[in-house]
Amino acid sequence: MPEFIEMKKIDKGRASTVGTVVKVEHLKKFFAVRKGIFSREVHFVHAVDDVSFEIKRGGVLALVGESGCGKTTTGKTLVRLYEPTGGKIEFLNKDISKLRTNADRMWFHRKSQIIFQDPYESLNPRMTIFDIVVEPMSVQGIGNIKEREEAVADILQRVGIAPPETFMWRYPHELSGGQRQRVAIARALILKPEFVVADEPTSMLDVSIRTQVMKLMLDLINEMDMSFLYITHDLSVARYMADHIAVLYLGKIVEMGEIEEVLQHPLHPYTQALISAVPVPDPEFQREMPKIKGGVSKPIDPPDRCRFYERCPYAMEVCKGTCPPLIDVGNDHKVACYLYNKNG
Amino acid sequence: MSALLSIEGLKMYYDTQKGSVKAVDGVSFQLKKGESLGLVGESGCGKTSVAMSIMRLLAENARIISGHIYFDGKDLLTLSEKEMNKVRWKGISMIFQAAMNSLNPVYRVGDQIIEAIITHEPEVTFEQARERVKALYELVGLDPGRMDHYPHEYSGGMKQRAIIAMSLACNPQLIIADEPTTALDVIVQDMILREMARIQKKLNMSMIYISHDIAVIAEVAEKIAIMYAGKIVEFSDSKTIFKQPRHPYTIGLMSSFPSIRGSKKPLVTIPGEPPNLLNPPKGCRFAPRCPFATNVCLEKEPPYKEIDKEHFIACWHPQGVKRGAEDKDA
Amino acid sequence: MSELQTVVKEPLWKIRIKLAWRGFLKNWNIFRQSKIGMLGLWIVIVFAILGFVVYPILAATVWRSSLAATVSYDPITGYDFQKINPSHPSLQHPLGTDPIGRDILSQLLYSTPREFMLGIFAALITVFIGTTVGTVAAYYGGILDTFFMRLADLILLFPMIAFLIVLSGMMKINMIMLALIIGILSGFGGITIVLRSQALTVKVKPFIESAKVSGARSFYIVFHHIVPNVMPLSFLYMMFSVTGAIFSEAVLSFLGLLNVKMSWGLMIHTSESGGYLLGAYIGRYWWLWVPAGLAITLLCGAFYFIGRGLDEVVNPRLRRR
Repeated sequence: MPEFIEMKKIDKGRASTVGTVVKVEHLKKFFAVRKGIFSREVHFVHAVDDVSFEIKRGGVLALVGESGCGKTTTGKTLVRLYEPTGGKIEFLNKDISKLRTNADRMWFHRKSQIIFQDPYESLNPRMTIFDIVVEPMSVQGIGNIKEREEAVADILQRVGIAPPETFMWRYPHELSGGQRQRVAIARALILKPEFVVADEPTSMLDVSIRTQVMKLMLDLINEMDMSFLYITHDLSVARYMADHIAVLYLGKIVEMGEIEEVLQHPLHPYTQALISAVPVPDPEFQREMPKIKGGVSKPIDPPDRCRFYERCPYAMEVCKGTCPPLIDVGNDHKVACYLYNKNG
Repeated sequence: MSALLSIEGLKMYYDTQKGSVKAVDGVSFQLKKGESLGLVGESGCGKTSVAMSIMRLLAENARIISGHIYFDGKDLLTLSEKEMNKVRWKGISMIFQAAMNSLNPVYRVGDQIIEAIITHEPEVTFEQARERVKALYELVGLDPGRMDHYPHEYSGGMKQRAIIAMSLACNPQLIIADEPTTALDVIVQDMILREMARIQKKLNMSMIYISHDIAVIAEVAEKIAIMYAGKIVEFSDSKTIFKQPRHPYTIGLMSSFPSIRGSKKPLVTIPGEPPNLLNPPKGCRFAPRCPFATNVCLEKEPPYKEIDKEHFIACWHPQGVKRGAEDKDA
Repeated sequence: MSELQTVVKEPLWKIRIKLAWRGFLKNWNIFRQSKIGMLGLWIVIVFAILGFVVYPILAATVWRSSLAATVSYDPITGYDFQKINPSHPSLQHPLGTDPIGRDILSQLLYSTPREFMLGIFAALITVFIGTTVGTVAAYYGGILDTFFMRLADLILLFPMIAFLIVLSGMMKINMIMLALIIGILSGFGGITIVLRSQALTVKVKPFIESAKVSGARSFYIVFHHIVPNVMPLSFLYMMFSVTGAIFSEAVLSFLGLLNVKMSWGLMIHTSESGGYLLGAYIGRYWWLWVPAGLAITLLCGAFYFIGRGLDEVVNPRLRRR
């Protein structure tokens, strides 16, 4: 008989005592755009603009923000799908923004992986589940046929695609959305990577399936001691998946810290607005109205001032000056806002 | 007070090569004037099909097998296509899923709404329609000066507001909103939801919200119907649904929903996946996933009956009034 | 859910064959429902049987020539001294003879396999070039893409038949060369543009990015991910290329520009150059041109019909439910 299963929590204490897996310093990624078809002027979208953070071994950092805030760009730059415009990415103490030799490149790709949002688009429809899951091994040239078969069967079993023999030779279209996302996870984890970027892996799944996949990922993170960058727009999912959180707004981190600390005591006006806008599944609960106005614009050649200036209910004269730096207000809680910067 | 909309035993199947998909299989509920109802369920549970049946906008291979849809005393299923056209927009209007992307990019947004008005009420002149759109813009919180702008000059939230204005254009008594905020960011979603709830109260309209997101429904709906695999499994006012859910699926759904407020409760997962509606399980459709299922659940379909005042449920083993399944397990 | 298979104990190649067979059956079941596609397939099968089976048998038995005979059925050097040529269809010559006494039916059947070879060889070259160039141009982009696309534009604007006429004046073109020329020209032409645009939609799919994150090289991505996803479309275009190649051959040999001994186009050319297609003669000597003309039309049409049927396999949107 099926049972209701409890979801595990992340062991927060451990994460702080072990080494750093990913360290990002002043990461920048700009995209060139033209305004109008005939214009020769080149402008730059500052998709990621001076972002720094680090992820410890076994730690999960949630990167949250509205669409267009640069969270996916950050994730893709970290696994080198995009070339960073500036800054430094250190992976296991090695600067991976300069991977010169092929051996270094393969080493990095062996140890990092990505899981995408859409389980319908992230699996090649012409490949069988076996071929999809085994691909990282065959690309890296790891193991012989026998070992690869065993590894695929093992990981499929582990992600709940069981029995593996019945699923291995099917095509993605023969699987449900939840099963496909499990296959995508299996594929990402077959080489036991140290670092995984998960780009909204549950946002397209139904509620009951979503919890299953969240639980699966949490179990795997604990079991395999991986570091995750968990990209999501959903703060409540972030709360269950991550131990740290970074709130991104137009390419800049506006607030960062331990997840419960940030969610319970948000400091930045944007974080406060985000939290108060999350619907609460309780008809009697009266949420306060988010104070901000307007929507997100595109950061095309942004002026050097607080990115949140136009929408901020507390905007001051100083905010028009330079961009506020990220300052530590204690408890490992950092915020980029002049409201908390006494020296202004 | 009599019901504005009353659905009785609605069955709607899709014919496919492999057989008929029982998308809506015996759905009944009532909606009073001025009331808002939330239809909650996972994708493929038939919630949009219910809406499409009410609007009689069915796909080619869809068939209404049986049932009645009474709107304002008339059975919509017996009306001719011409009579039905009068009901659409003026009686019931619908906000479709991702409707904001359906605005025609080459026409001004205001003109598109004016066109909708004039098509459905030919006696209205262009100037009158324009005046009405102006008033509608104010009602939904848009600057009337934006009427002459093109869709690409609108942000996502503004487009959604324009769509709401359009759905209000012919003063309908009932609006069906299918996932009205799914594509929007949280902050915009919050503003739109508040706006919709406010307008609904102000105009004393009836409203059906369709969503997969219980939290969204909790914020706007007075009544909630939980759908699973083509059937309503539980129906009550939202307070009862959230405080005293009785159906195991509702309980599972509630406790699998992460929340950012309060203590970090352990999330509960419902094992398995929703059934294939080509050949659904014989007994209760939730039985294969249900922790409380017994033999009777696998054999016989549970009746949909009132167990409390205005609290309907289809289950052989209604659970206790306490929230959360883990209490029961212990 | 489809039926389960427990196959982990088998060797990999066996599984792959089974999978390919299963995929083939699935597509065949879709194709089978297309009436026009099945019609095309049947016509092609009938032609294939006539050309590859019936002709060799006839040539070895009934039509076997001996030096002493007054009748030879050889399609190229044949003659019939007993009749005034061209002679009407008769028992000895079911489709009559041509102006120099050769049997029309034997010419028709003799040419069939050659038409097949030409069409399929040209189509294979077209598709090979089109697929490779299209996907590579789409994936690498930049100057490579620009170059091949402008080349394709150029070839599209180029009047192919006129070019072949000029070319035939400068060199002797036989069947194999013709297939090569048609294959190369149409390979770099329109098909490249179609396959490139298909490859562009595949290129941006997340599974390509997944492969990159695993460390896959461009070459691997092009041939393991992009090519298999444009393959169905290539196959479809292959059918249309067959039609194009057979048709071009017919036109060129009708004009007498090809260095071939016998072909359907040449059969019509022979009667045309003998003056039998002028004015009222065209009706009187119908057997000189109807069989060959019909054969060209039918075979070209048949491959086109198969393409239409395959279209329903490749584009699920066209399918009727």
